[in-house]
Amino acid sequence: MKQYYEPKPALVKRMEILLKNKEDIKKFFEIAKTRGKKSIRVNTLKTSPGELIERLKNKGWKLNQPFSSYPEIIQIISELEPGELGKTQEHLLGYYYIQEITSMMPIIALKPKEDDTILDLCASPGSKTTQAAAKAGNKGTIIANDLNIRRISILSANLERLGVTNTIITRHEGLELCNKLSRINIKFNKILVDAPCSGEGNIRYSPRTYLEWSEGMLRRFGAKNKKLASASLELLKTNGEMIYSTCTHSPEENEEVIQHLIENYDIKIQEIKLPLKTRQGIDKWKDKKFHLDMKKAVRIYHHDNNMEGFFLCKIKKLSDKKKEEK
Amino acid sequence: MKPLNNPDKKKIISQLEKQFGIKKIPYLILKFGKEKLRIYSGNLSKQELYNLDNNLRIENIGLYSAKWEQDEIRLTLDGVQLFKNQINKNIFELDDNQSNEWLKGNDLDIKVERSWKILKHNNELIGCGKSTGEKISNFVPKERRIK
Repeated sequence: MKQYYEPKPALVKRMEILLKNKEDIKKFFEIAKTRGKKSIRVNTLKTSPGELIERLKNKGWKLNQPFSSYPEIIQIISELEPGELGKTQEHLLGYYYIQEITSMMPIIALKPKEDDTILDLCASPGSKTTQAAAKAGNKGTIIANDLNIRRISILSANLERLGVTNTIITRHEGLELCNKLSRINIKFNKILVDAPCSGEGNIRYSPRTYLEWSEGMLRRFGAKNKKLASASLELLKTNGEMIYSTCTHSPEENEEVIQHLIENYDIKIQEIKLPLKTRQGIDKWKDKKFHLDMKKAVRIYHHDNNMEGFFLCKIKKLSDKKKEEK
Repeated sequence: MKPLNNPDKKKIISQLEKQFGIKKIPYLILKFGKEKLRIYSGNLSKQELYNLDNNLRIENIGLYSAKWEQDEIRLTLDGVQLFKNQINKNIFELDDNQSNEWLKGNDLDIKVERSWKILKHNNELIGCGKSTGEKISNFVPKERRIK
């Protein structure tokens, strides 16, 4: 059982402003003390949902496929022993990946196809890279990047286990990679920036977030992610699509980053359809007003779906022009 | 990182066919170091890969699938999985107990002729081991073993 920490008063106040409704706020903090159902994603590069379900049911596991359009997503209803999910032969052979359902949403929104050239800028541990490779049928190319050598090792191990053959793993700081790719004129038609963040949406799995959280941290991540998202957007082809996502709720790390892109680049925010309860991006925060299209961005709160919290925005690049050049 | 040219690729496929019955690899084969062979199924050309390799810090490309060992080829666990629909030679069937020991990372006390063996259990190919005539040596990576 993980220890629970009390949220700092400043975080409570911010969530009150974001959620407004008292019952909603109560639910948000209540569910933060609990754990959600475990979930897996069938690795369709190696097996089918039907085959895997049969094998797992033979172990006596109770399973649920919550979305008919995404049969590869499975919730584990049975109470398993700690670590049991990662110890099966099926896991060892790469037939499934243990992944929180909301963390599957960025790739569902990005819709990788066989001929796509994709950049996954902050890729480790590889949950979204392996999902993208499966969606693309190991075709096209994914450049999966991370900085830390230990995280690269985890990314590499997961890609091997899942039989991913279309991916190139690079080790660079995100901005440095974007600059290097720009210099050699490599462009992508799809990009995922699953940005480093304060992790407010991941509180059920990482309770220490409440201890480490500070408003300064939100500003630092926000400033860094504006640069990261901008540099990534420069690598996107015209009509290419980029998903910017975080597992946090702070507008500094989410809407403010998107607003920065809207103000500086020739882009359009796209609608996203996800199989979860979602809420619109917000149109103002403190003294800042955001573009009307921010409503197309998606906020996922953990108490709405009994899952992790997330933010996603899908951006289409209309041209290489920057706003001041128009 | 060195993409293999056609003669080298043919040599690899010929050896894979001789050992395991694998006849086709419709992908690029890349050599990392002296022995490691990785398979890349993506849409970048050799020239584009060289361009990336010259400009970026590349850790890996594609899947580590096989290793040259003294003029023979050992398939990795993931290489066995990748070619499972083509492998039809040197398959050795394990019982439940042997399979369990194999997946725990243990050598198997089985006396069969000396050669590389693809290990099968319940219609599943679960690795590639070297039969010395006295035992089958285990190559399941430590982090992939069942504890």
